[in-house]
Formats: sequence, C-alpha cells, structure tokens
Amino acid sequence: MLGLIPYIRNNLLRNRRRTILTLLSIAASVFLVVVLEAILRHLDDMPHVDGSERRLVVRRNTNFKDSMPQTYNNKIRNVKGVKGTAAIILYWGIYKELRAEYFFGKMAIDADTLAENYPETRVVDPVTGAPRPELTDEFIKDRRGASAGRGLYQKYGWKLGDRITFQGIGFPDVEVTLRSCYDGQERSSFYFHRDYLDELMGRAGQVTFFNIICNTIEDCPLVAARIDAEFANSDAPTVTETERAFQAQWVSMLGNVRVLLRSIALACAFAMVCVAANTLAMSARERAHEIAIMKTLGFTPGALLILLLIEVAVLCGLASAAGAGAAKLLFQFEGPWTDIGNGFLLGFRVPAWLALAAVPFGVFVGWCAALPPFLRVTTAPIAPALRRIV
Amino acid sequence: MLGIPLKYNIRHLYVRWVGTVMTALGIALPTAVFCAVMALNNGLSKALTETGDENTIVFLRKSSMTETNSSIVRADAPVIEALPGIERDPKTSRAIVSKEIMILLNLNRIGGTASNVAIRGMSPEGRLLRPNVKLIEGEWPREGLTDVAVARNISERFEHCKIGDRLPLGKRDWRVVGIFDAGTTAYGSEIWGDAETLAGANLRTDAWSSVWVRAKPGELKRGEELYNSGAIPKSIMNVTEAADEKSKEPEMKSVLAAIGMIATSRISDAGLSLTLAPKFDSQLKSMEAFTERDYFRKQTDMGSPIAYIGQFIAIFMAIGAAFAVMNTMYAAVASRGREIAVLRAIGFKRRSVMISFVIESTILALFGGAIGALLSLFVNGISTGTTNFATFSEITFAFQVNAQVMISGAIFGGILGVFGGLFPAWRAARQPITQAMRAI
Repeated sequence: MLGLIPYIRNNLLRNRRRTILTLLSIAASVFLVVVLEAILRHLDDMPHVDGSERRLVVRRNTNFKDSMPQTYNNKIRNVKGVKGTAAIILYWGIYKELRAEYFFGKMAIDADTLAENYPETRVVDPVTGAPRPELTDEFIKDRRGASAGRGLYQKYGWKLGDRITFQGIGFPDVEVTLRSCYDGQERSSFYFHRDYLDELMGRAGQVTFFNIICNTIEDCPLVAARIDAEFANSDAPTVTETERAFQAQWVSMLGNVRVLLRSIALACAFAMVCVAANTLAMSARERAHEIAIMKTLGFTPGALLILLLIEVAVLCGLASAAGAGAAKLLFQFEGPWTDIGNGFLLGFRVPAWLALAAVPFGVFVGWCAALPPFLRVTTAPIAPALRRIV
Repeated sequence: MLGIPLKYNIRHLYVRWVGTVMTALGIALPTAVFCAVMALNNGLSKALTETGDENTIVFLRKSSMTETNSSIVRADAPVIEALPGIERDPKTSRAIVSKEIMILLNLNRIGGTASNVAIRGMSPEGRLLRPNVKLIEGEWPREGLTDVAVARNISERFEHCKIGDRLPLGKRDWRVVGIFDAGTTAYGSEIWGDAETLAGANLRTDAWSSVWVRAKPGELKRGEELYNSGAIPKSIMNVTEAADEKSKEPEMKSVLAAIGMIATSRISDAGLSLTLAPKFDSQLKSMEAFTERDYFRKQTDMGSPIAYIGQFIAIFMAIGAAFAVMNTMYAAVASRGREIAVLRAIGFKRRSVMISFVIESTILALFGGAIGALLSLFVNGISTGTTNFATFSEITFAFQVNAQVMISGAIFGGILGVFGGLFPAWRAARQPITQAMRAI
C-alpha cells in the first residue's frame, strides 16, 4: 500500500491549477465555518476575562440605563462578603462622529476604586506595553484625567496627554486628558472621574451601576441576594447579577444572531460540498479510462476507492488546515478585522481545538462529496470505460 | 468581427448539466447570504425610515438624539404648546400636542434571552399623532389607569405581553388591555400607556422625554421659505446653531421646520415677539426639533453589528465561489481544446473566443445568482428583533427581499462569473491551434 503514495502524489499534482483552485475554494469555506463557529462559542461564553467570576454588577431592576442613588454605595460596602465597590456612571457621548467604529464604553468612576475592582488589569505604557504603575497616580491626581484600554490607544492612535472630547448624548460634553493606560483581556473601555462628570451635570449622587468584587466566588450568590433584599422596598429596587450575566445582556440584545450565524455556517458547508463534488466529479470522469486499466491489472474496486478517498482526504485536509490556520492566525493579531463584531466580540480568538477539529470536518465533507462520483467510476464495467474516449 | 453564437455556450452548459448545477449552487449560496444580509438591512432601516409624517414634529433636549436620552422640563412644555403653527383637533379644538415619556423595560423573549422594550407614555393626543397605528384587540389604555397596550410584534415575542397579563414596571404591575398593529414602523416595537401614570410610577414627574406636535399643513414649507428669503431675524436663527455646525441636510430641514412655527408667530404678531421673545428663545434654545421621519431616520446611522458580520461573511463566501467558477471554467476550456481550435481555424478571432468564454461563465454565474436570489425569498417576511443601538430598545423588523435586493444578488453572482471566467477564457484564446487539434 505504501508503494502507492507516489501514485496519490502524482495524481494530486497532475492538474496543479485545479488542485490549487479547489484547495483555495475549500479553504475559504472552512475559514468561514471556523470563524462563525468561533463567534458562536465566543458569544455563548462571555466574557473572557479572568477574575470576573468574583465580580457582580448592581443595576436598576428596570433596565441598565436608569440610575439609582449613590448613597447605596455605603450600604453595599457593608454587606457581608463584599470586598470592594465601584460606583459607575455609564456615560453616553459621541467620540468624533456617530459611527459604529467610534463606539466604545465610557464610564465615570471613582479613580481609586479602579485598581481594587479590576486587579487583573495592568497599568502599562500604551506604546511599549511595559508596566508603568506610576500612571495610576497621575490619573488619580488629575481631576480631568482619563484612563483608557490599550486597545483604544492602538485603534485610534492616541498618546498619553492627548485631549479627548465627547459630545454628550443626554449628558454634558466632556473633555478629558489621557493620563493612564491599562492592559488585560478587556482593553477597550474608557474611564474618567465621576466627580468631574457630576460637577458638569450639576447634580451629584446618581449612578448607573455598581461594580462589586466579592471576597470569594462562593460568596457571590449570597451577596447578590443580600444586596437586592436591602433595596427591594426602596424607590429604586436593584438587580444584582454576575458580571458575566451583565455582559451577556448586551449580546442577548442583538437578538437571534445564533440562528442567523448558524444558518450561514450551514450554507457555507453546503457550498463547500457543491464545489468539492463538482471538482471531484470532473477528475473522476477524466480518470475513468485509467481506472479501467488499473482494474484490468488486478486492482479491486475497493482498493481503488480507498486510493481515491485517500487522495481526497489529503486535498481536503490540506485545504481545511489552510483555511482554519488562516482563521486562527488572522485573529491572533490585532487589526481592523478584530473588530468584525464592532465591539461585541471583545478579545475574539479562534480556539486552537476548533481549528484542529476543522481538519477532520473538511475531510469528512470531502468524502461525502467524493463518494458518489468515485463509486460510479470504480464500479463501472471495464470494457465500456476503456472504449470511451475522453 | 463575428461573435460566436450564444447558443454554443448555452448548449454546453446544458450538456454538462451536473457540473453546471453544482457550480451554480456554489454561487447561489453566497448570493443567498448576500441577499439575506441586504434584506436584513432593508427591513431594519425600513422599520426606522418608514415611520413618520412630515408634519409630525418631535421636540427633544438639545443633542440628546433619542427620546430615551432626552428630558424636557415640564415647565418648558407650555412654550411648545403655545406655538401658533400647531394643528388643532377639530372635535375638542385642543392643540394636537402629546407630552411623552419613554422608559425601557427589560423583558424576556418567549423561550429566549432578555431585551429592552421601549414603553411610551403619551397624552391622549398621542394617538391622533400616529393615525396609522390601529388597535386590533382589546381597548386603548385609559388616562389615569395602570393599563398598557402592546404592539403585536412585541406581544407575540415577549413574555407577559398578552391581554390580561401583568407587566411589572416601577412600583406597580401594569395590566395589558390592548394589542395594536403599527405595521413595519418603529412604533410596532413599543408598549403604550398613559404618560402621567407612567411618569408617576417611575418617579419621573419632573420632566418629559419628548413633546410631539402636529404642525398645520403647509406650515413647514412656509417656514422653510421664510428662512430661505432671510425674513427671519438673526436672533431667532440662534436656535439653529447646532444644526449649522453639522450642516446635515435632513437635520437642517427639521430645525427649519420648527423655526417656521416660531417665525410665523413673530412676524404675524410683532407685539408678541417683543414681549415674549427672551423667554421663548432661552427655552427653545435648549431644545431641538425634528420631523418624525428625520428623527427615526437618524437612528439608522448607528448601523447594526449583525450587518457588519454579514458583509464580512458574504465577501469571504464570494471569494470561495469565484475559485469554484474558475475551476469549472478551466475544466470546460480543457475539455474543449479541439473545439476551440476548430473555432479558431474556421475564422473566429481570439477575442471572440475569449468573449465567448467570459459570457459562458457569466451566464453560468447569473443562473447561480438567480437561484440564490430565489433562495433568499425563504427569509422574506420572517420577523425578528434586534436592538436599535441608538435607543437601546428592541426593534422588530421583517426581512425585506424586494426586487432591488434580488437584482443586486443576481448582479453579485454575475460579477463572480466575470472574474471567475476571465483567466480560463484568456487561456482558451491563447491556445495554439495546431497543438490543440492534435491532442486527444
């Protein structure tokens, strides 16, 4: 059997152009199937931030935009199991212009609580990424300062000391100076001082949500229940949920994306079958003559079929590896393409296992497409096949 | 120069029908995805752009853009009500003005995840302002009661939204008493109740979200003309400052519309303008006015993340399909080497051969594109919801596959055919005649 490897190789190389084109079209389909599947996994499994398991978010029971008194902060801090709280105003404003690519989360927060609540983030130099813990102090000292994720620095070409202005939507306009930069898995939020925003609004004491960090993961459900019980009978009842659930809401707002993406992935896979089936049928037809000769020499139909299927497996396997590898590699690096979800796919990566799983998937699809034409050729009677002129 | 007859290409496609169908399917699927994405965009923007009457005007706080962000202090509402250009209800002879409040409520989709649904509290005049919204079941909520009416699309897709159900909102439960149909407009994704009761229950008694008015017919046009003729005093022009900076056409027009109402009052009654002017100005300056149509149209600017992903997908599928077309066409050229040589030998020019093959591949691709466009009809009319990221509230829309979408889809397929056919056709045309004749 091993002696037949050159046969397979030569067959694949016989019509190089066709092999390459088939390879590319299958690779494009696999690329898409892998990316779509990865997006679906990513959406199911938000957020991908280590350390977020210990965090809870307190919001109003009505929706995430309504506000509640800041005085809740002290009561929440005294709830058993709470390690730290951060009072946050979700600020709505336009950076540059109202276009999706200029959209990112803007939050007014008490600067000193940032480090306590997000211990997994590192304060770094926006250019080199080297640790620069002294920036935290600069941010805290400057009342009109801001701290932004490194992703935003890279996306918009910001530098420390740049002035950033937002045109408020239902909020006053804000102008702040970049003083600090943080890096971590989540790296595309924008923070500035809550007391500065309060001053601009001329009314203090209302916040949109509280971010809470608990002592242990086990404490979380109890803490959430205690907080909600505390405010159940007030004018502004709360809902406390895990940071994960809070983030998942944004995704659920997109609606039935899953069905949409899944059906497109199916369409891709089906298109791939069509393409592969067509190409393989072409090559089967061309080879009817020589297969008849091989059968005359004593090859059984089964052996020939196996040979052909191995050839298909090599072709589809290579194509899938190329497509999946490209998908994996592409999203390994930052670039305009990392933002395909337009902020919804933070830290999107193609998992390695998924890329690997794409290879057997591609081979399987190839076999499905190859079986009908190859079965026909290998089982065809010898004499008519020999007589036929291609 | 004589062209190779089209029949030659069509017959060939027919003879190799299995390959033709397979390749066509390979093109049909990307086309279908392309059409579906367009249909989604279409449906979404239709829901926003088809809402609206040129004579209905909404007042918001300046630069708040949407009702969910806006607040107009209650004391300022009478300033708007006093504008003379407002239409009156012939029955009650009250000005058609609706003071409204918008609240978002997090609700669960039936068998699914949660989303924010917009609840609109309105004055009784609010329904006069939206004459196309029809009650289809139950009754309209009455003033002063904790009743709500739910849009049909929302009622079908969200929990607690059937007649008789109770919606937890603020400190009370609200009874669903009616279901209304608002067609494909943005109102079709809302829940309606009484403004005053909703404001009270949500402790929002200091300000309205928006004030809606119906302008007298022709009033807006008159305002525009006045503005263009320069008859409006500079001091009133201040109201448009914000719009001037951006100088966007629709916005400009709507603000002009609002001025139309102010200007007529001033010019017709100089006395009024002298005594009331300062107060008028300072209060109206904190507001912005849009026609209903412009207001909703602006919300399409944000775009939808779904559409983003969709375009990305369609492009990649197209690349894959183009390779497939190339493959098929190369095979076609290879298997017809002798034929091509004969064609050349009997006098057809290289160019004719090349054009003929490009045409063949384009026909093939158009066929695939047409199948794809037809396939996309399956999603036509499917109603679903996503979030309007301008207001952060649920918006229901239906996929709209129309002639434009289908034609674009077929063209999309055709373009794939041209690109896929170009190189193989080039090869066919360059083939040496004698060699090709000799080959078996």
